[in-house]
Amino acid sequence: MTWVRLAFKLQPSAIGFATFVCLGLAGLALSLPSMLAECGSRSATDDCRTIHLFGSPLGDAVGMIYLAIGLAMYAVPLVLGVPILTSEIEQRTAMITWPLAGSRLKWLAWRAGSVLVIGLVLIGVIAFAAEGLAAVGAPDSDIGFAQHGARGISLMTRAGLMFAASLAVGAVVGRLLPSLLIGVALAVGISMAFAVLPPYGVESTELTAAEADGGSSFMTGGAYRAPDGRPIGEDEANAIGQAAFQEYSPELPPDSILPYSVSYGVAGSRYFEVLARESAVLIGATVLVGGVAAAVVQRRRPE
Amino acid sequence: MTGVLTWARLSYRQQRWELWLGAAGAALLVGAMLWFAYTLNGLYAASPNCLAFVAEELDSLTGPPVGCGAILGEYYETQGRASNLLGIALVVPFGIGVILGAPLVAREIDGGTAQVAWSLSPSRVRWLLRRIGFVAVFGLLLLGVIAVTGEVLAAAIWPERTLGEDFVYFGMRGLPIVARGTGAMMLGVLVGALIGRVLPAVLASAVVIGIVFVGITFAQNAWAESEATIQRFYDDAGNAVPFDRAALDIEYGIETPEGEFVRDIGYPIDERGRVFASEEDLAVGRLLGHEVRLLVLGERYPELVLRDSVIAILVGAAALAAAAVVVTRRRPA
Repeated sequence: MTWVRLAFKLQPSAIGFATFVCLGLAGLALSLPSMLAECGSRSATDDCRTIHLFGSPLGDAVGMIYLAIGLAMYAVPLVLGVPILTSEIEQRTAMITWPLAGSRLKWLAWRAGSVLVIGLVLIGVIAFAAEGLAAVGAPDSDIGFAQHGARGISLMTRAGLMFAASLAVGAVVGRLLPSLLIGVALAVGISMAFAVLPPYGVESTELTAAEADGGSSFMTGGAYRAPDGRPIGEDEANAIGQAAFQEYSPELPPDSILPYSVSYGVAGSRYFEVLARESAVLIGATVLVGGVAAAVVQRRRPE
Repeated sequence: MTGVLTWARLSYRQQRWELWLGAAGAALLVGAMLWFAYTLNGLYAASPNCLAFVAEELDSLTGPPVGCGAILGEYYETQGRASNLLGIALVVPFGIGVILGAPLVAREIDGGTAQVAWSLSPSRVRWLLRRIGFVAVFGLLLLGVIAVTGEVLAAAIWPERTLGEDFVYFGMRGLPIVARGTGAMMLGVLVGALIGRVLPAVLASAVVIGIVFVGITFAQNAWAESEATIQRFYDDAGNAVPFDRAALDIEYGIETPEGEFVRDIGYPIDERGRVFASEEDLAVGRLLGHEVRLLVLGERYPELVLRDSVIAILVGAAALAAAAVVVTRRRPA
């Protein structure tokens, strides 16, 4: 408890902000299912599921919550991680604390470690609530890859990497606001990496119709097959389809003579295989980036 | 003139990182917007016949023209990405308020320089105005460029629509971006002056600016609802009324025979948009009302833009006045 109190005393506004955001979002995620149930009893033409702000329809409520969680996943670690070193350097307390500490690495481990634990607990609360919200959306089936990255373990490992990156940016730049802005740009880059890295080398297979339509699979691409099942290109599929429609016009041709599309990807049942690989990659990257921050702290002048 | 330049140089020196990074971010956004506008214009020029379908899609009873699938797919994909950029333009004014506004006074107090500056300056209010002048002009210039580019991109996305009388991308283009940025920046200055420390001020201003502008938008929605008009989906003869895409949607519901609007709570509706109290009433044709849209017509777009902007600027002016009071009264440390 002492180190929690100390960490809070050193960063009251950042920890207060993170607590406000995390508990607020978790509360919204937990209360949303009952709000939507009330909304669902109305007509389909009533757009109470859509959030309108600033004169524009921004999106559906569940999507907006996940968007907010996705933003918090970057904002909370950024706000917690950047000031750890920048405040010490900017306010020149590093000039005193670094020479006094027996080892700069030990000092950094205590200073960053305590904030990391607090941050992970707070992000964990969101991760748990978001996991519950995703499960409500698919009560009778495996949620698989649905909202992957914005719930559960994947949310926490991604936030952990963002924290390490924020710490490293703060160590290199040494000034608060510039580090925050560079951190925002870095968050955009990291989010792009998160979009292209999955499925982390797990082999894609052709998905069954049920797997492709269920929303729990991770799609990597699509292809076409002729009515006899052989793989064909898009142009050939269009040609076969148009010929069938012309032959039967004005009636519709039977499905058995039409080409059909197939999806490739990783089925929701293999989610944990991907999650395990992702966790290993992200924890490894977090340690690596944390090492960069440690190396900078070890070498830089404290002013 | 020399005095103005001195203050501008001083402001630049104190916030050059934020100013440069802000300018770089704005340049990236504007560059991407112009690139997408150029790409969309190129797609239209290459296939005007295919892309004419985009304008008619909602009213069309048939699919796209034969052979247009690929170009329409490319157009929709580009349009979706371009719309995301306009979504960024929606939040940029608030971001500018947090990044440029909050640290202005907070940094002086946090760094202890306010003690000297306020003692030397004959008037703290004049000091405040000089201190924020350059940064405010710089921020508004960036927002102005984004606002104009937003108009260019919106026109490229919907070339056949008259955007001066159309609520599409309301708040993501034109004057509201600059006005909201002004309001947000002054709110940031106020929060910074109150808190007097940089990081807490930045974080608190993000929350305060969010809450204030969400509150304003809810109040404006209620205001617009009180002035909205009712539009049916089908006329008395059962013919479909063309969907007015330029209008600002407020609500969907039922128009009673007395001309009153009530919110739809799930009554049965027939294929001509007629609403019945129950399935039995539907069977015997006992009408409850007509399914309608509550909307603000597109021709009122300039009026609502001006109103939105004036409110944002008034909020900014009130925040600036409050910041002046805080700066005048507070101790510099």
